[in-house]
Amino acid sequence: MLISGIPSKIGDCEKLMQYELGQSDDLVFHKFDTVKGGALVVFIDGLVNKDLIDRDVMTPLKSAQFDGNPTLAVKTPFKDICDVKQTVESILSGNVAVFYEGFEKALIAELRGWEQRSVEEPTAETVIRGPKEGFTENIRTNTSLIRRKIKTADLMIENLSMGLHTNTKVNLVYIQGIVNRSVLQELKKRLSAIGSNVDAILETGYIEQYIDENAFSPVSGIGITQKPDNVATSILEGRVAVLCDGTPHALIVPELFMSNIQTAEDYYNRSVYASAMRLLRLFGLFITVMLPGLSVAIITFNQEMLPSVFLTSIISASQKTPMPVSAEIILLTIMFELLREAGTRLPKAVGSAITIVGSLIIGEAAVNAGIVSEPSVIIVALTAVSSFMVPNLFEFALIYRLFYWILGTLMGIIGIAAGFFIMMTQLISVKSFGVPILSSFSKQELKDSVVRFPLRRMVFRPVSIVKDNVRKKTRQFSDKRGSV
Amino acid sequence: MTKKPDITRAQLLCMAVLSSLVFPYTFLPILNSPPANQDVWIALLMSFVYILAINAPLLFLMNRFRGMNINEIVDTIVGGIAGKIVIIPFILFFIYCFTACLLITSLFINIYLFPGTPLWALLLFMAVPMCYTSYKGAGTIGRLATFIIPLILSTIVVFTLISLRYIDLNVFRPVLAESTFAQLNLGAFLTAARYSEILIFFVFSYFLKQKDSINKTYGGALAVFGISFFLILTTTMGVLGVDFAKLSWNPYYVFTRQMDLFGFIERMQSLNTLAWFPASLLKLTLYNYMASYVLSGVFRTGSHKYFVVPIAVAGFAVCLLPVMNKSSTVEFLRSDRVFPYIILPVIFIIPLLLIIVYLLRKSKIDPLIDKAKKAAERADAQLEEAQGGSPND
Amino acid sequence: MSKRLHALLLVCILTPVLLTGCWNQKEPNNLAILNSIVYDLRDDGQYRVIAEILNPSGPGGQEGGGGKSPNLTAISQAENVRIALAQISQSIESILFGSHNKVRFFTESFMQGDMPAALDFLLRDHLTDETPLMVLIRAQDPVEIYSASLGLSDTVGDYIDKLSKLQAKNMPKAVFITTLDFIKDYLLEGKEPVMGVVELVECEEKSTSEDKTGEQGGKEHGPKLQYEGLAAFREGRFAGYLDGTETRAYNLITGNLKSAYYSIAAGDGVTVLEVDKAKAGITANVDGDEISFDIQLNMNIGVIEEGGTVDVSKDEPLDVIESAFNAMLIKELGAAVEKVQHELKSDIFGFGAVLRMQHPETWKQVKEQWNDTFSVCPVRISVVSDVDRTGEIKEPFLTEDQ
Repeated sequence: MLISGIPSKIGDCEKLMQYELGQSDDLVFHKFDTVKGGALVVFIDGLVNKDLIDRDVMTPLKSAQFDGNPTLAVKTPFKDICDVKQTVESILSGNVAVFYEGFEKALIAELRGWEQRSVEEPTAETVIRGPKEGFTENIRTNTSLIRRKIKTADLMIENLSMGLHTNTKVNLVYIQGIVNRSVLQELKKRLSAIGSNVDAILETGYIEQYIDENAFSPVSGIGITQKPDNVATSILEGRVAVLCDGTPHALIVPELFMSNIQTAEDYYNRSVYASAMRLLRLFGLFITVMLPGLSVAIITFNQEMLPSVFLTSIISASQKTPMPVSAEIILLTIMFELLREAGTRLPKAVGSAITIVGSLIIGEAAVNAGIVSEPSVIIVALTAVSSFMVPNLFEFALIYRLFYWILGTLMGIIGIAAGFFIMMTQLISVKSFGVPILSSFSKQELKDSVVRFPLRRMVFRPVSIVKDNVRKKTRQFSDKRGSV
Repeated sequence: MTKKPDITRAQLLCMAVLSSLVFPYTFLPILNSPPANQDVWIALLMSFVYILAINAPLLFLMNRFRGMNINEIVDTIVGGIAGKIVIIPFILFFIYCFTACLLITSLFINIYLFPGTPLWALLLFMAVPMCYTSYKGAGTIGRLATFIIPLILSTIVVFTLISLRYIDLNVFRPVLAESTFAQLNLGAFLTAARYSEILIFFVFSYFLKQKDSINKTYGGALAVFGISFFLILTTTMGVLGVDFAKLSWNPYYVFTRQMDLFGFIERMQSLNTLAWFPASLLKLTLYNYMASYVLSGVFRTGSHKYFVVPIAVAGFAVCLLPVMNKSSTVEFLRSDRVFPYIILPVIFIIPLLLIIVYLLRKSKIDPLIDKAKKAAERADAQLEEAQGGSPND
Repeated sequence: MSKRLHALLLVCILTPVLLTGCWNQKEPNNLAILNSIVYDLRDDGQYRVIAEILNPSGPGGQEGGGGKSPNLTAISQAENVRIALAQISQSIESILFGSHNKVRFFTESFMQGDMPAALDFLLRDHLTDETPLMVLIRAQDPVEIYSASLGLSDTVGDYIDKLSKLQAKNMPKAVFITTLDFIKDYLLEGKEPVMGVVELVECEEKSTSEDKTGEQGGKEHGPKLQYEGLAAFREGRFAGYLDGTETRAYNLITGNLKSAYYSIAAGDGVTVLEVDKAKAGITANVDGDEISFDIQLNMNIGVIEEGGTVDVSKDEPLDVIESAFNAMLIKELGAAVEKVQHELKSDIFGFGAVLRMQHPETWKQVKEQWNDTFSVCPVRISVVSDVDRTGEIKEPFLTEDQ
């Protein structure tokens, strides 16, 4: 049926909607008569708040005082739509469509209501100090969480729809006047290229992989967060946040390397402690990436670096085991990764049992059976524990850990030095939307990269990201309150 | 032409310092230059005057011809086929330096660290990261230099501080009694002639913004290099004694072997290796890139990438020749009988000739210079305006 | 396409490197850690090398030893030191790892032979470095040092190494010379090198340390190591010994003395003095053809025991003590210098180096036959000492009444 607009007769409307929407079980077609004419209400059960429909739509239409004008009767805000396609899309998004005899328009009322998770603390980004709210799967809740932190008219939320079959709602959040315009333009360009060219956008991960220009790099230039305060801090520094309906993970673009080592808590704590924590995390990153490779290099090539007492204990430990040191370390690393992945997937009830079994098997039994030696277990345990200090750099650490292990086994200290060279070259050449990810080490930005100066001294926004409006408002803060 | 990469003054300074420190870190050639006794530190101090004198022609050319790269400068002064011929010594010199550094580095590793490893494996091992970085271009090399320089400078400072306990200042006496003025000057001149890093400035000054001063960067690089070299030399001499230092193939490495910290951290020469190896790789990368860059200008290909691997392979092949793969050959090549005399024509004589030709043809060349300068200034201004263009450190 | 080609090339190039294995990799359980080593030259011209290798399953290793000794001694003999070392490696089926070597022992016969050649080997080989101590053994058979009793250490190398690190300042009668020190002195114009000396003595009651069972670490109550004195060299060959007292004088003159105890009879009893600070200045005087040296010693001393009735809390009695001390020291130093000049004829004090620093022109003329020239140069010694501390009590405990 080639219908260009909404039909006048209710029966035709019903036929049209059934044709467009199909025969799903959860589709509700409620045709009824009012005192002045027929009416049809179409919605999807499960996506709407039936109490509100009853109160704001059905009751006024069915009442004896109904005067024949549905626009005056329907109590909730609505839109008139003449286009059939738009009407269908609205119904699929959870709106209620009201048709009236002779009206030739559909009234679309937003009466959404469905089961959703409440705002909780995210599991992966726990903090001691600071807000504990995390995003949920509902994009409107998420934007409201951001709005409550940034109450300015400059906060822009742009809407995009992506995915041929999912029509996922995607919001871009940024602050007009601070945001880096070319990054924003580039982002919009890449997002519109996705558009309807893909079947589905179910999570921000899909978006991330489509807009990522560094597909093979261990570290991408796109950050992920579940916390509204992280998003707020980022967009105040000129970045853009991408929210996607159906997932609590938001993307932040562009993301510098040091952001993975920083947490929002660094800004809520005081300067010296925050700086010490950052340095500790950087040290943890160094350990988790380089310790296996470095230890293999020293133990098998450059034993002269070790004090002789330590060397004797390593020798006597490795005399009992069949494998070379490098093989032990990679075996233990793989076993640890198995444990970690299993731990993420298993049900909470058996979680502690598996951890005990895992650590007992690897730690005690393997050593006692003479399969691996104690120094290797210690090295891998340290590596594993340090890897949780910088969770955002997990894949980076994993890939480069293997890389350094290979080079350490092949060429000792020289191999590690060469690996460092290659790693730095690779990191330096990664750009996130035109911003090099290692640009936190420029002179202006050093106040907030590896260490964090007191907030009073941090007068500038990051120069590499923000192009205009670089100066923050903290310049008016008097510094006369005394020093250390 | 691919988009011109930008480097900052700090990056250029770091590149020049790193490249110049690799050889002192590796074999301290000054110990065997005249007067070859305890007064070599005086020769070092005197050599800075000679460095300024020897580098003056190139500094003049760089300052006068801002906005033009090396190919354009030579083409403008000596156009046509002659220009191509004049630029060949530069290319050959870069390739020579690249090969020499490759040979010296791999031989050092072979002698001190890994005697059983065959030379081809070492060369391959060095060639791979070097080609990868050279591929990425000047911007990456510059930024990489800023990350590697803290490694080397901090190891120099740390070793100096630790060695204070072991230094015997009597090693430096009698001062000036056993050296003649002529010997000191000759030693200073030969040391100055080894400072080929002026060519790094010559090639990379094109990538600097117009408002950045080359002279200040050059001065800064020379100062940092001077202080570091002085520290390396005096601490090595003070701890090892002049005679033993002269006898060693790598005095600084032997010096770091003597240190111990708190009685249990001993044999810290691995710190030395960890700092030195990335710096050597960077020096190799720099010379490879410069040779590729100049070649790409000669053959007018868009990008330098085509020449990176062929130059590396050529260096590889030369190092594997039986006649090259010997300690005695390397000893000969790096000595005062060869190295300074290869560098001098390229950094002094040819630039001097170029200046003479420029002065003769001044009226024709000056308008071209001004045009290039204005074009460069415009490009810089565009870069400043454009938002999100690659920002610099 | 070109990216793929590059990746493929990379893989093709690197795979052989990966598969051929790593040439310089040494698994730790294949290493034999050298703790100390003895170089000996036998009468028949063969070089004998005795290596002390740490036993990782002995005490100090993983478990408590269980009766296993902490070290293993391997001996081998060959016409050349390097071959002898290779033979040791073969006899213990592990790779000899010399980077942790603490002490190099030499016998007199070795030192009278081709010592510079040995030094050349030590410096040229990449696994040996310049940190081990150089010590001369005075013993019938050098292997016996490995059956000596060793205080609290398990191995001879550790024992001597700990002595040098912890006790050096308390041992004024000994010198601890590393290979680097030896080389520097050997190459320096105007100074001859010296070496520490260790001697095997039968159990004297000088200082013993026994545990409850009368045994130490499973060893029999064997001879003791006495580390005292020094061995002087001249032009690369062993020249002679200085005993403990003469070595103390050597340490004073070369400025290495950190603390020493002297007892003098200044009053009616014995006064024991402790040297806190000693600074020696050597001046070379050139008068025409004649070269002479002045040694000026400035010392700060403290009284640590006054066995007589000298009232050390006042200045005049202290002056008496000081002059007695000065006289005794001048005599001691004079005797040492004389022995070095006339018997050893080797300038171990470094007078030549001082002459070179202060009168370089004169040095150029005399440097050829310096050891002979030096042995006839007059040496004047003067000592200035100052008692600055007298301890926690003032007058002596023993008064005239008692």
